Amino acid sequence: MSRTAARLRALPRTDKLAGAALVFLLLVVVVSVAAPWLAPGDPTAVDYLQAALPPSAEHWLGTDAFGRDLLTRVVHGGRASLATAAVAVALVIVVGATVGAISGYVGGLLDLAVTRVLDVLLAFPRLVLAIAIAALLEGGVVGVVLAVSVVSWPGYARLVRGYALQLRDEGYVQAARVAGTPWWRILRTHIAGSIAGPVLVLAVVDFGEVVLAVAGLSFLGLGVRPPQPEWGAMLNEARPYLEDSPWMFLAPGLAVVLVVLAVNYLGDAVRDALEPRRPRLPQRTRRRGGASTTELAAALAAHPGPDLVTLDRVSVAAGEQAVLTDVSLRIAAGEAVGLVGESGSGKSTLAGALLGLLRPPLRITGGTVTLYGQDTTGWDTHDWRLVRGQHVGLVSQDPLTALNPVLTIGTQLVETVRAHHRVSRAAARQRARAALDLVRLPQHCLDRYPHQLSGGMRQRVAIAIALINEPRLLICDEPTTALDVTTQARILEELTRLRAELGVGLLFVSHDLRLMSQVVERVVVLHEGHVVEDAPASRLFTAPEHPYTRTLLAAIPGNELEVRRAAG
Amino acid sequence: MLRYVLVRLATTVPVLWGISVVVFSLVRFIPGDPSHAILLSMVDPGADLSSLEQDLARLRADLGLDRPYLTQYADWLGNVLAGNLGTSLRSGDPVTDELWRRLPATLELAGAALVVMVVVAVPTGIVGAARHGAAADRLARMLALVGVSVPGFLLGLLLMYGFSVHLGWLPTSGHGTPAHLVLPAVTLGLGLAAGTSRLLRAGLLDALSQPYMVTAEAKGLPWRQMLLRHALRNALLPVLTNTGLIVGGLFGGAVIVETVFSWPGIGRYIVDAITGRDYPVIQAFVLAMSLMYGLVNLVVDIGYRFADPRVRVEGAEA
Repeated sequence: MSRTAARLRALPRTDKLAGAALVFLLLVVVVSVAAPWLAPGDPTAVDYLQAALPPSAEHWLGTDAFGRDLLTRVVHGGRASLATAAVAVALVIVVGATVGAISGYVGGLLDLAVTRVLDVLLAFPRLVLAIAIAALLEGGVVGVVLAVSVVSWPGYARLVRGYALQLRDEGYVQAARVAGTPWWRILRTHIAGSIAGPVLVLAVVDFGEVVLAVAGLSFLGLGVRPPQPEWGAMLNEARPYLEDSPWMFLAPGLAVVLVVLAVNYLGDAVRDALEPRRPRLPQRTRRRGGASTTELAAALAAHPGPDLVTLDRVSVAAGEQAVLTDVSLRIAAGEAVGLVGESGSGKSTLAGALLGLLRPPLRITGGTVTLYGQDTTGWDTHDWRLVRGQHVGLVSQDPLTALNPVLTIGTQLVETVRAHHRVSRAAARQRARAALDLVRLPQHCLDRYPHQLSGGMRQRVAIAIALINEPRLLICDEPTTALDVTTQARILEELTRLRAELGVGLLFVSHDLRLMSQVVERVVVLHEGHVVEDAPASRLFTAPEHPYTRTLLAAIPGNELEVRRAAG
Repeated sequence: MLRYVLVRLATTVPVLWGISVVVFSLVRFIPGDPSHAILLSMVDPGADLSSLEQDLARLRADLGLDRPYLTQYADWLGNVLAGNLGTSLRSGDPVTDELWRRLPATLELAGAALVVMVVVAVPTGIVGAARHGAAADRLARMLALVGVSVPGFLLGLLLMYGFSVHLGWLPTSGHGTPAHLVLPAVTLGLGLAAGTSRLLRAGLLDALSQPYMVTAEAKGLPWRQMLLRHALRNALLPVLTNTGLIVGGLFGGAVIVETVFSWPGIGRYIVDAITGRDYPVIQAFVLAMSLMYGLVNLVVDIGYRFADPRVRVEGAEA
């Protein structure tokens, strides 16, 4: 709760507009409360001599068809509109939270009955039911409050019930129960405390909608009765005079819009502050120029140099924080290199940097990445597209999340071919079949969705996607971590076999030295963003130089003695 | 799949029954009881009701209001199941016929509003996500926020003032030609578009942040394909889940928009009924709208099974 409060307190400073909205709303509340003193005129006093006057120094917002001052009526109308909405929201929170909390916490038959009732109430279109209830209650403020409350409380009850259901099984709640604390006290202390935040957010977000609903019902003649002023009712009264006296509807209309807009903006800001979501989006850069991209394509296809990848003193930072520092690495054609390090050492960042896949806040701060002899510094999205999926394939960690859940395996293979080659769909599908053969998957997988395959099969699909355009370099970022041990072994065999068959270069990223030893010829050890050792696999396993490498080796079960001897 | 449809239909039955109970009980909210309302609708306002005690008693007997509650409910439910939603107090015509007669106009408005909604919400939602944080996104977000904050009746009056009164391009009210349809449909559609656009933008941003988008990017897919095939298909699922809310907003909004533009649909009929205290009409209206709403939600739920392959297969195996 204290963190919630701190975030809310910081809000007006981080978001100036939210601060302005808050100040505006407070002002509206003060004006509404103080209406009798601030606008002492009688909002219902009729004066036909003053009828339908446009805004002037005397009547700032003009007068209506009965000669009543519109400013006075807007101020007094706000009192009615906002008070009605506030009472409705308060009622909804109390009823909804109480019913939801008790139902979720007590459970059993009571919960079953309550959820059925909620199901029925939520099965009505909200505004339609509200209109009917208000109409049958024959309008009036009470009718509107009841109508809005009846249709709104089930939403809160459902939300709170969900929280109560979760909290019931929390350790501290169970402990309180075992200690003999009565259920109503548990509800009041433990559960009420935890749900206050989300319920308040919902209330702020909902308040705007309730103000609109109240105004809408009044517009239909169901709320505050004339001649008493209310924004929705004033808009209704202004309708016949739309043509000649537009200020009559502009005054209350603007009032409704400004208040609801401020509430909604504040609601968005509060929600963003309490549930921050930072999307990590693919990066796009402006096009450098068509000609150079074509030249680049030719140069990449020709590939003169012996090295597939060269990293020269590359540094990557996340904001101010260094993730990789002066990392140098090269992979020769056909070579298999392992990149090892504990989680957080920057392994995956390095793999991403190779393909220009870093997403903010990550960015390259120094050094050069050279692919197929081409310096990638300053490449735009189109340049990178030439390399990705065509000259370099990537297999990432979790094969379940790495494949798009709503597209078939066939689609995901075919589009990889067609992104780089102008071939017919049928031809691309033919290549997709060949790719499935290559990773020894049956042909019927083409029409399957990712979730219909096992973890091992999904990872084979990912490898097939990476290899379908016959790249000379394959990057595997922890390709077996999400798999069980037997499947791990099969995928490793598969990678070894494919390497032998295709002669493809490999960068194998893993935290597991033992796994790596089966596949790679050279190992690069990454520790806290620095390369601490780069040695042929045979030497690294027998005579590790860096203390950190020794620690890694010692972590392999059954390896302790050997390493200690080698180190000593 | 068939099995899922059957199960879904079976779970709908108790909810429908619940709806019928609520709608029947709504009439009990009337101060006094319906006989008062009827009598009040027949006599001059302000007449002394105490002299009408006898009439009231006879009316109660005629309406069957003196019988036990459950008997009344059973009778009413029997009628409803036979398609008889009661008789209008004002016209004496069967409400079912009256609603049927006005349904086409309301469906016309709702359909056109949905088109407006899609045409506005989909591009703005996509642009907002594609240009996240840029000027176009901030503009689209601000417009969407204003859109959800402007009540339908005010937007209707503003559009009417601008395009009919001031510019004289479109008729202020009525029904018949395509020109008559424009303003009501835009009014109703824009209000719904704002919320849908926000939902779509959020869904797209969420989808674009998923690991499968890294795979799509690493495959070298063009940006357009990443956005429109990979992200959009996933982002449409939450929008689809909210179709029920959109349609609910459509029904409620239609009442207000039809009132503003004198559109001869169910919405205006119901507002006239409210003014005339024609409670059987109000009751029938709620019931009809709720049934249509339930039907839409049913179709959406089944459609969702087709749209999301993950749920589709579970359903087939269940």
